[in-house]
Order: sequence, then structure tokens, then C-alpha cells
Amino acid sequence: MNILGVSAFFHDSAAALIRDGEIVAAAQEERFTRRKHDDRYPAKAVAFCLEEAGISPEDVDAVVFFEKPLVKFERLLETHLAMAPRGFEPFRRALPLWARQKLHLPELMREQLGPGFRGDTYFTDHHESHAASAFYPSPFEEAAILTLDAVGEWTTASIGIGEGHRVELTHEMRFPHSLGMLYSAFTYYTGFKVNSGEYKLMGLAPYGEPKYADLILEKIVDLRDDGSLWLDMSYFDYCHGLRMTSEKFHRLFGGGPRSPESQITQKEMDLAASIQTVTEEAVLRAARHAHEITGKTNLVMAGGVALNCVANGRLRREGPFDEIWVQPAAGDAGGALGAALHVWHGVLGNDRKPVPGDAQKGSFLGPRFDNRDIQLFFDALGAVYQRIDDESELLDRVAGLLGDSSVIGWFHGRMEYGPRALGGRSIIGDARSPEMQAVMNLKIKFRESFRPFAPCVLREHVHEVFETETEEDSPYMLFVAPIREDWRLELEEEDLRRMQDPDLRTRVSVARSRLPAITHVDYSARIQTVDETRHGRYYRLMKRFYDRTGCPVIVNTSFNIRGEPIVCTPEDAFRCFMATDMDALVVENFVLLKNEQPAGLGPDVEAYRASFSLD
Amino acid sequence: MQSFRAPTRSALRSFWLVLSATVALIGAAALGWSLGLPAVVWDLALFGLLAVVGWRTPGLATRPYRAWERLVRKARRATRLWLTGVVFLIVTIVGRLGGRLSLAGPTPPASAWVPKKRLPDRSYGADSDVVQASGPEIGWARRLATWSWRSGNVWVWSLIPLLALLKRVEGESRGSLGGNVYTLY
Repeated sequence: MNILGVSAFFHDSAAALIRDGEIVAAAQEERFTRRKHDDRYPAKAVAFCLEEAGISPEDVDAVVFFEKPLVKFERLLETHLAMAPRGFEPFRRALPLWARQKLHLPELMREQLGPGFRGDTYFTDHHESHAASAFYPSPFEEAAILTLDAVGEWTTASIGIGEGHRVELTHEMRFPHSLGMLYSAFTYYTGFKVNSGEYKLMGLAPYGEPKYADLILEKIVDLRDDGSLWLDMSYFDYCHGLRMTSEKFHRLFGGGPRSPESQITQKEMDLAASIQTVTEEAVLRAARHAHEITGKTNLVMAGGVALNCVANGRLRREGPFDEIWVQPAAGDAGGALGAALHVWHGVLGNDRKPVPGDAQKGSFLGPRFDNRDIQLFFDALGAVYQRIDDESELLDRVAGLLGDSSVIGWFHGRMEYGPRALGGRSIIGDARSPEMQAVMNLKIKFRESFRPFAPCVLREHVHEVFETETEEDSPYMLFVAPIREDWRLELEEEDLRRMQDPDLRTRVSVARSRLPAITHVDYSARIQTVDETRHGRYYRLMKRFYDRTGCPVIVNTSFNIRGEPIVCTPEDAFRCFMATDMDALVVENFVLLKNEQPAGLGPDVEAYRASFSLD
Repeated sequence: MQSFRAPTRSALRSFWLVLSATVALIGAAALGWSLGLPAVVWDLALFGLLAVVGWRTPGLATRPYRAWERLVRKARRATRLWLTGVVFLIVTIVGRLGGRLSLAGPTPPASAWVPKKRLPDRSYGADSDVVQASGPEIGWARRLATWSWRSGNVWVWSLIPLLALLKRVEGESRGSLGGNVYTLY
């Protein structure tokens, strides 16, 4: 039985296809349309899923939308009933979209699949989709479930139990009281984009002191021992305005929001640290509460807040659960997968057998490309390449390039599902290089970032470099852990002086460990463990690099420039490679060196950069 | 902002024919009244002349076509605003009579966690949380009416004609709202 899951019309549209409960394909629409956070109906992602499964719409038995539109419409109306006559502007903008599109989803989904589709149409609850995406692919027979996001229909957080093939959400918090909204309000106030800049706020937190945490807890949010919270809505405008925070909020923190792209001051750093502290506390308390009421020893999580890997790291180290598994596509894109799985197991009652490790397949669920097509593409383009079909020779070559501090675009196997590049579409480099961070930021990503890059580490060595359990699994870059003392460097007086510099780029450039490219100012790192089963060739590349250098860690960042969706096709990868200062591109068995490429093959760099709006 | 595609040759010709017919009708009436010949003669002559010219050179219609498009766009925008305003007025009136959502006031005594109701399995076939009778598919208006009846929002019935009109005047190319608001989607 083929079930197609769809999430759309909010942000990060996606499609996922499962066959008899097994995940066959999943991808975000933005990767195909090249429009970041694309929220339109995921026609291209759907087409890919069907193609990957080798089926046509006639073979789809059911299509599932990841939430209940009419219940969401109820929330919209109820919110305006409570706020009117305030709030005409957002109402004016939202209502026509509902009238044209969102009230017609059953028809729209059938239309999109075409007349051949004769299956059933389902609509799951938004948080049930999250919960299903967290529990069903997890390696656990039973687990407590915690979902945390901004808002679905009415629910903003939920707690439940997953057992066998059943997911049951037993408790919820309801709109407008939301941890995700609270975090996004601070994202907005500190000058980052809501729905995409939250991870920047998290990365900014280590620079600050949580001096506003008490003020936040005293004035804005009533955080209970059980992790539930109640917001004082007079500090927020999101129910009736076009911004997240109110004048009262601005007065409380001594002024209006920071203008995007302007200088980040100590105030923003302290605010970031403060809201991060509050968030971590809320997540820890909610998890403890989930533990108490479910009695389970394992926890699974999803929802946008579950992408807060600093909070996840604390939960893993301090929380009451033995094991934690977080859905790598924890945001709304993951809802497509969860919705499909929920119908298969939860609604149709089909059995589930947990898979050791997990059933997410490393989250490599997107398109792949074979060497023949890639060669045709490069030949047509006139690109200069070396084809190396012997994998050992290929890995030797790439490991050698890595050791020479080259920045490499790495394109292998299936594209990742979820916001992180995990070794399928990654830019990689030597984490030991003191210049790597600056080079990657300025010449590759075209950004002036205050955040270090994430490390990939061989799983068998993770505990030797980071403060983790032996061979602790973190394959989806969802947990932060500190780097071990013996890898840290003593800071000299000059370093300490630079650490006081108002320019965060100066601070982050201070080498704090033998792996400066991946070490944050608080010695933390967002780790991805790499193992042979999940990562195959990528693991073997890192192993080869380790054999040569004794270093089990490399830098991994997403294969894109700022504002661009992660590359999907060899064409996207080549364009990005040529528009940046990457030294080499490895696409499956093909190695391309930048200095060997004929002039004029790449895109106009300025036009390329301008084609993506800043995130 | 809604953007119109470049008009096709056939679209321009069709537009020109309609425009020719309209001009011919008005012009024939005026000429017939002032010069005394039967209006139908003038009408046919004018229409024939204009149609031939437009058919041979459809580019002539581009400017009037664009002007017509602009007019339609403005009319659509005004109608959309007016309809949304009426809906908002209804929402305001109903809201003044009392809504169910508590945005302010005292915090709950101990916990903001509340029991979550599990949906009946058959409700997964519906775009709301109510169970719909199986049978032939029903249209959006009936679904909305059924849902609003069962969820205690009967007042929403008054919105259905307005939403239907709004759907008519809503352009095809409007996508998401973007920006920093995301509670209203």
C-alpha cells in the first residue's frame, strides 16, 4: 500500500511516500524549486516521490495532509473574534488565501494528483503528524512523546505515548501559549527572520549572559514546574499584528527590535542567552513531566523546538530519559512523513517493528543521480573532471585534498530530508585548519557569521573528542556536546583580549581547541556522528582521512550559499561550486578541481547571489 | 503583487474583436443618430473595419488590453478589500458578543497542560475534526457549514457566501504572505 504524505501552505512544503510502512522517499519542495522555505503545494517533491517509488498517481492508495485545515481556520476566526476590531491587516492578508486555497484542500490535492488518483484522502492533526514522525521511525518499541512547536491547529505542545503501532497524545498546551512562539518573538526582536533565524539566535546565545532570564520569567512567561507555560499576551502582537512583539515588550527591553543585518550588540547576545536559558528550562521540565506521566524510559521528540540542539544536548545529559530520538525533519517538513506514517499505523492499525538504529535511513530520502547521467551533464557542459571508479582511489584523492586544507563540495547518494546536510550534499573541510572557518564563511557562504561550523565525527571516536558516552549516536546533528578538556587550548592574553572584541567574527576566530573551525566560544559543538551503516562512502572517506591524519573530525556545512536551498542536482552543485571559492567538487565518482575549469563555465556570481534572498 | 502574463496572440485578437464590437455599437448609435443612416449599417461597417485591422495587426490591441487588465486588477483588489471588510465587520460584531478564546485574564491554577482529545478514526477522512458521513464527496461550502454547525460556530454560515465571492475575485498567482506573521495561516 502506497501512502503519500503532504505538508504545505505554511512553510517548508514537503512530500513523503511510504510503502507498506517503509519510508521510500521524502523531500522538501524548496530543493527542487530553489526557493527557500517554499510553501506552495509540493508538486515537484510529490513527482519525485512517485518516480522514486516507480509508481504513478493511480498506484497511490491514500494521500494525507499533515493537519486539519478547518480546525486551523477555526483558530484564525476565534483569534480574530477575541482581537477585533484590532487585527484587520493580517486578516485582510490571510482571508483571501483561505477563500481561494486552504478551504479547498481535498479538491486541490485530488486535482494535483490528477484524474488517475482514486485513493482516499486523509487529514491528520498537526501534532499527531509530528508525534508520528518522531515515534514510528524511532528505534523504540515504546516511548514517551514530546512535541513542541509554534502552533498547529490549536496545539502548541503535546505529550503522549507511543507503544507498538499506536501513538496517543494525552496532553496538550493550546494557542496562544507557546514555547515556539516565545522563541520566535525573541528571534524577531533580535533582528533575525522568524521561521528561519531561530538557529542563529541559538548560535548567538553563547556570547551572552542570561541577564534577562529572570525578567522574562517574571513578566512575560509563567513557566510551571511541569514545563507548561502561560504567556502574558500584552507583550506580543502576533495575534493581531504583523509583528511578533508589542510596544510593551519593546519598553521592557529598552527599545525596538534590532534592524536586520545591523550590528549585533551585547544586548542581543544577552537576550539570546536569556531566552535560550528559559527554553532549555522549559524543555527539561516538560520532558520530566512527560517522564512522570508516561513512565517510559525513552523519549522521542519533534516540532520546530526539537531542532534546538543545545536544549536537546542538555536533555540528553541531564534529563530523566535513558534514550532520546529526535526526528531529523522535526519542523513542518517532517509533518509529511509523520502524516503518512500515522495513517498507516495509527488509523489503519498496521503493525510496526522497530528497526535497530532507526527506520529513518540516515534521512537520506531524496533524489540520487547515477554516474552515467552525471558524466553526460559534465560532458555537455565542457567541465574538466577526473572519473575515478575505484572507490579506494577516489577516497585517497579526496582525503588528500582535505588534508591540504581544500574546501570540497561533496555530493553523494540521496539528498537529505530535513534542514541539515548530513554528508549527502555537504561542503567539507579540515576542522584543524585555523583558517577554515573564515574561508568557508566569507568565500563559500558569502556571510560574516558568528557561528562555528558543525563537526562530523567518526562514531567510534566521538567520546574521545567530545564529552559524550562511548560511541554515542548523534547521526542527525541534533545534539550539542562540549569538546573534551584535552582538546581545548589555553587562551593567551591576546586571545582573551580578542574575546572582548565587539565584533563577533573576531571572537569566534579565536582558536579555542585543536579543532578551531567547529568549536564555539563556550567550547560546544553541534555534533554529527558518522557510521558505516548509515553513511557508507562518507564514513569511509572520514576513515581514510583519519588514517592519514589521526583526526576523526571534519567540518561539515550545507552545500549552498546564504539564502539558497541545499543543492539537489549535480547541476545545482556545479553552479554553486563555480560561483564560490570551493577548491574541489566531488560528485559521485567525479572529481573536479576549480583551477582546471575553463573560464566562463560558471554563473555570474553577483547575479547568482542576488537570486537568493537573505535568510 | 499579482503579475499578469504577456498576452497571447489569440487573446489579443479575441479582446480586439470584443472591443471592436463594443466600439461599433456605440459608434453606430452615434453616427446613425447624427447622419440619419440606419444604425445597423454603421454598426456592421465599423465592426468589419476594426475587426480586419485588429485581426491583421493584433499588436494594436496590446495597449488597450493592458489598460483593461489594470482596470480589472484594481476592481478585483477593491472588491477583495470590500468583501474582506464585510467579513471582518461580521467577525467584529460576533466578537463583541463574546468569543471563546481567552487571551488575557488569570492564569490557570496549576498547569497549562490540558487533556488532548483523541480524534475518532473516521474523522481522519475529513479536513476538520468531525466525523463526516461516508458517501459522495461534498463541496467546500457544505463541509464548512457542517463543521461550523458541529463545532458550535453557526455564525460562520453568514461568511460562506462572502467566502465564495472572495474566491471568485482572488487572483491565481498570490502565494504566501511571508514576513513575520505566522499564526494566521
